[in-house]
Amino acid sequence: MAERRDRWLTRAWFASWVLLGAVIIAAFFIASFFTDFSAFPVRDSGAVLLLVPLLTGFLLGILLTDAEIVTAAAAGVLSALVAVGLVGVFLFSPVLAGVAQPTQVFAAFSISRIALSTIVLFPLVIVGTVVGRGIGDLFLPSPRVKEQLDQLREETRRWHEALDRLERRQEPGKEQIVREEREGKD
Amino acid sequence: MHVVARVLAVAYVVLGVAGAIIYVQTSVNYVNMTEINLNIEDHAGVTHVEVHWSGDSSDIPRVRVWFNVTNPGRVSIEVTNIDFTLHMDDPEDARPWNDNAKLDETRISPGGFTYSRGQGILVGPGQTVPMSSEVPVEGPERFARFNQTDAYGRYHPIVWSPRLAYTFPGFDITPLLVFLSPYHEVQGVLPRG
Repeated sequence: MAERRDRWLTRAWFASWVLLGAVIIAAFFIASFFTDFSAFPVRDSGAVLLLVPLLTGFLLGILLTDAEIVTAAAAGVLSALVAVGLVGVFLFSPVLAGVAQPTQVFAAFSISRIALSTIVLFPLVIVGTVVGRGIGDLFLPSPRVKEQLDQLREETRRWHEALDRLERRQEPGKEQIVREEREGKD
Repeated sequence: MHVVARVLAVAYVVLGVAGAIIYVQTSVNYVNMTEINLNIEDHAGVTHVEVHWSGDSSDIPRVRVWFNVTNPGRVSIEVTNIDFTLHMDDPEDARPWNDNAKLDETRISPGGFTYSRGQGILVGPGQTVPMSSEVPVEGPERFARFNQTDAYGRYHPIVWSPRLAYTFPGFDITPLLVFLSPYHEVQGVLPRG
């Protein structure tokens, strides 16, 4: 029961990080790409467009240090996917709010922007997530992972010691065999 | 979770909340501005034209063009520019008032006003603000084109290619241009002294 609850809790955390990441990426993308509508002043749109997805992915990767690297990469893909969806919702918000009609020109404009956001966001978010997961694994392992590593190290050490003891016990017999072989040659 | 990762998680959540606020605000602004951009053309135009002239040839006639601008949206707009070309229709000429060749012959002068951003005329949501621009008729050639009345002494001014430029206060937006319908005073207008 507790194991099941833990599994669902892990999934909930995973979903929360992915959703938060998507909101950050989408918000800064539209704020820098559609500066006219944003109350948030963006001085260098290009830098924001490139760095925010990378940085968000990096943070997402660090937060998913406990997960497998494939899970972290999947989180990056999901985050980028949800972010592109949010960019789409933003672009179609006048239609959704009922203030504009979905004309062909409007659809063409919106779809081209969604395509651009897909091209820009996906690689950056995924690279950021994988790098963040790697860095997190190297420098910021969680106490649980650290404990598991320590246990693994301890077990390995014990195995080495046991092997050493076995080797030492076999050594006198080994010397005897070598001596007999030499004598036989003579 | 590592202690540094915990700090980064807090920063991530803060960034997420800030992102959500930016996202909602930008979307609301986009909807509000689109609503105005799509509807303002039908909510602005020339209402009437006044001719101020005593009839004394030593006086400079002045033509005042009145506009009404109604804000069809939910955020304020700032009108920064109105421009047009003033013509005076010649009732003796049988050609339609908007005939291109005739317009070349009836052209008096350009008119309008321009304000820098932040100093324009504010129009609140749902508000209608009248605004006007005066065109002095100077020079004999312009006066000759101006002084065309019908049998009742009425003038028939034409406001050709009126344009309006507006922006949204508080946003760094290049003023947007709206092309309004041309205006022709069919009934005619009597001059005021």
